[in-house]
Amino acid sequence: MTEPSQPTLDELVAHADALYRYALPRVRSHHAAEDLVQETLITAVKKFSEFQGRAALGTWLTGILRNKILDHLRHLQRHPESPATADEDSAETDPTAEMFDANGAWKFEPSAGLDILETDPAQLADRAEIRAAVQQCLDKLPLTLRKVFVLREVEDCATEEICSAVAVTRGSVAVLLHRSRQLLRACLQRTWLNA
Amino acid sequence: MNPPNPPTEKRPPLPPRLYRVFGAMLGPLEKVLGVSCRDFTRLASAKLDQPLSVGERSRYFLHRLICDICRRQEKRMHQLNRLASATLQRAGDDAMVKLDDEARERIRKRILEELHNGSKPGS
Repeated sequence: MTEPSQPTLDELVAHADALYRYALPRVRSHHAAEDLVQETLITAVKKFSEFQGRAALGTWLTGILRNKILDHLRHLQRHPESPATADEDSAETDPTAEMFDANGAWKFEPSAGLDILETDPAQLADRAEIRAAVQQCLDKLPLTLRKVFVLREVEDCATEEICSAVAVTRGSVAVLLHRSRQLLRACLQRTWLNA
Repeated sequence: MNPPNPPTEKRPPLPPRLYRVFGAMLGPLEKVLGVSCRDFTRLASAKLDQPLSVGERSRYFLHRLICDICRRQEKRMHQLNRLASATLQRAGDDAMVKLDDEARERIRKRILEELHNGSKPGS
């Protein structure tokens, strides 16, 4: 197999937009996304000898970016950017508690207003208003819950990777995932019932 | 004249009457046995990420057998996970989202600096 040829600077920078689009919804900050794209391309320049050309250059770059995002989330967990973020994440209260009565039965019909989900998710995601509603509800999740949810459902990360990225135990990951799924469901239910 | 009241937020409907009646009768027992809707919801979520223990599986299947609301809710949770994933994947395809020229230039300069500092591509 022939060695992949060294990309030019222009070829590398041509991938910057796609990398940025990958990073932005995952880190929720323009600045962080830009920095991660920059670090990714610099790493690619330094480690190009490791690129064997089995996958497309863009796929290889996305793999580097994915690791950078995990490192970034890990760093953010240890050094929250603002005290508010730290408070929000250290809250011990269970936000799903108000969905159930004292015996653990539903207070409200949990699936009401969500019939739209019967449609194929790929088709639903084609609709801008649906994407906006989902994005808005994801943005409303507390930072740690959002991170855990995105790592599991979008990045398909293993539990160990999530534990490491958000610095919690395996048991806590299950609790956080449960909370994020229920909060997301409740948020979309409110949104669509009031649309 | 009083100002018009702001529109009140529509809340989800109460569960069906039969559910509430049975809940009132069996709820305390379900809670003690760990097979309440709340327990089931937690187990249904955990089941997506890790294998359940024998005890957890039994409680999960027992509740699933008797509670139509939770079966529907579980299905919606799966559908919602797929939709959220598709939404974020799609965000990566939106050609309108791109780096501004200033950021692109800054990145280009940083890579050049890196090259001049001796990090030859491929080295």
